[in-house]
Amino acid sequence: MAKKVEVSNLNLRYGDFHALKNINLSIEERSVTALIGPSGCGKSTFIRCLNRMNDLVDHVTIDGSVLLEGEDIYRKGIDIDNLRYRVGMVFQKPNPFPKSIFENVAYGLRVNGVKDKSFIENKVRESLVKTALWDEVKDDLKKSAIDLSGGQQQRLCIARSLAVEPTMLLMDEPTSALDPISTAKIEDLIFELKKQYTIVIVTHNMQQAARVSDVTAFFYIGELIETDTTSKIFTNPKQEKTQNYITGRFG
Amino acid sequence: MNKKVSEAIAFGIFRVLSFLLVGVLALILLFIIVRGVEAISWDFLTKMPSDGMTSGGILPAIVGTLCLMFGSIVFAFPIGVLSGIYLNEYLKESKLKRFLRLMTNNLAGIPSIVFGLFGMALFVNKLNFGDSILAGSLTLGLMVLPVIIRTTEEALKMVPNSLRVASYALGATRLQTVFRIVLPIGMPNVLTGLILSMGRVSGETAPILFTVAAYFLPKLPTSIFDQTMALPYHLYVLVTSGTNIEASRPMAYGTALVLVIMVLIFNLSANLLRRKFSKKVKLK
Amino acid sequence: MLPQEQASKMIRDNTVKMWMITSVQIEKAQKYMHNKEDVKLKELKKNEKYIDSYELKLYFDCENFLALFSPVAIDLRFVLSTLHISYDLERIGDMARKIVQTLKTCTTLTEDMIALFEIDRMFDVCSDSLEKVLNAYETINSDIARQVLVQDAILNEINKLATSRAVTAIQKNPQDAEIYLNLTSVTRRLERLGDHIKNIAEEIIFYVEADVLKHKKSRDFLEDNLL
Repeated sequence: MAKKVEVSNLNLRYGDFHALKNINLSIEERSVTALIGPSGCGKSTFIRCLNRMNDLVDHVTIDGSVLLEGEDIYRKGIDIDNLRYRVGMVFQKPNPFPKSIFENVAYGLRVNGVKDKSFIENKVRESLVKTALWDEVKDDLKKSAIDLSGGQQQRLCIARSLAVEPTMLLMDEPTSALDPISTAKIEDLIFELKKQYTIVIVTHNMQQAARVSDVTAFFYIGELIETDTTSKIFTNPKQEKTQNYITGRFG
Repeated sequence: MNKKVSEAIAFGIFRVLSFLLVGVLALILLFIIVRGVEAISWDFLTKMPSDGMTSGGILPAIVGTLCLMFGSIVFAFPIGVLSGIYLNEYLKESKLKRFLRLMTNNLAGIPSIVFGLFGMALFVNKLNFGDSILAGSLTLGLMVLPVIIRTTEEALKMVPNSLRVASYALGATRLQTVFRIVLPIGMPNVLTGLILSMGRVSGETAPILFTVAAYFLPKLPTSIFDQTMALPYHLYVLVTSGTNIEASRPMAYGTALVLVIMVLIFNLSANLLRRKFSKKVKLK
Repeated sequence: MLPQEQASKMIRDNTVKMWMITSVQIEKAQKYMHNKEDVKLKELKKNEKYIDSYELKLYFDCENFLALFSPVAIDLRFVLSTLHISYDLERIGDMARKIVQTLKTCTTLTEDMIALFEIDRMFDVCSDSLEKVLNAYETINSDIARQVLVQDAILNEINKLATSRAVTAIQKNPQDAEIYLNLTSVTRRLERLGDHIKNIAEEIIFYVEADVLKHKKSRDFLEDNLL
């Protein structure tokens, strides 16, 4: 399998706080990588490095390199908006825009200059079908997205990300605000999407990481302690810290 | 038990105070309506003043006030909203931002008569607009600018950051995010700022005193460089320096009533507009 | 203590108790061999029942533990190995009883015969091994468990010699043929008992090191053919 992302010697500081310490990680194409670790361990910060979301935060300095399909996304002169167009992101709390369902999904295309009406309609439909939302909402695409249930909203947010055809999908605790049934639906979806997308998911739910991911990376206080296939991590982790964390002995 | 007693007492006081407030407001309105309603007639609204302002109507003052409201909003609203956007969406937390905010607050605290003086010096004399609707609108606009900036800023602050982030994550630029997401959602609250400032504009006397208001000018303005009468100043004149103060007293109450009704109508329609907007973009 | 830790401590404590009773059964079997009056058969039976019910209890507790705590890594291996260990302990208890039953029929058993088949040595090795693996289980120490793997070879050797020893002895004293044959079955059972102890040792190594020792050859076959 080809390498999708190659992170080497990545360091990130918020002012004086060293939030990510010398991270080296490579992510395979069409795989699901789960990032686990206690709160504040840097996993969310790390995922935000992959689409340069950290640029929005004040006083952040980053060094090291992040290669996305061989291209250094931290080189000077890179088009950041275009990068984010290519790397989709789903957030912890469902955050649909207070617009219609249709407009939510179409938003990414519109802001990126797509005007062709039938193309947009097709893409919206396709994305909603992919996220198994189409049958639930096809009759009221004009309805406000805010009126959907939490689980539907989150799937809408995923559909919104998929509409712009990203090459990679970042998910920051996508089910932490959802009930178990919605969570199962999203996990199902992740499994489906894996066939087409490279997915990186941050999760606090260890069972979730075990269920959906191929590779698991354990972060602790800004360091990447261990990364291995998920079955290895959950049956026989090499590092004691990893074992302590996944067996619930600290964190 | 003690806790419950103090709770009951405290909320009892709050209730009395709030009813008192409503009572005072009702009293003022009642006072003006009772005294003013007999002066109101179709002629009063559509005729020029006559007989040394003891009879006739107040049409030029109504039109003048409408012109000033419109002119000042046209000037202050775009500038205020854009400044608010700049302050909240573009400027990172810094000394400059704190300085700008401090200055905006200071500007809001300046007495309106000082604005009048400044407007006279700058617009009337220096820029040579003369006593005119233009000079008056600009002066009033300057006066309400800080209100609009502050309310815009506050309105935008209430837009959840998660929506901005979601927009950026889809590859939208800052400008696209502001105009497609942030501003539409903040609009209802921005409109609140507009309502507040319109109320102020229609009621202020001091800023127009030296810049536009005519003591007695029984004709409608034809261009923005004309002088005009205005309701608050007309009221002031009727009460303090008319040719026959006693005779024009009913006219004064009538004028006051018209002014109050005008402000009410504006508030109501702006509220309707606001409701329409917020229905479209309602958050959870 | 976390609820999970409490539950695992309970499983551990019960396993150790079951272990103790099993050791007692082996000791009693050895004593019975030397002097049938020393051991009450009733007690043996009672202990057997205890062992069976401990196995059942551990089975339920492990099921609960898996269902409630979804253990991973060392916790998961702890439960899996404990399940196997309780099975092996039950089998060991069974063996001890069967040895006693066999010995019961040998009314004219003499110390010379016992010495000829080195049965005492086998018993000693078994008791020692069982104590060692218990120690390994309690201290989560795989090194001690590895020592036991070596000791199993001694039992195999002695058992191998039993047949030829029996043949020679029967030729000399044909009238005692039945006893000699019974004694070979005792050595065979002690050898099987040793195998169960070895299994336990392997489970402990799996528990501690996550390394699967059993069926090493089959595993290669598995990797070649199924994976």
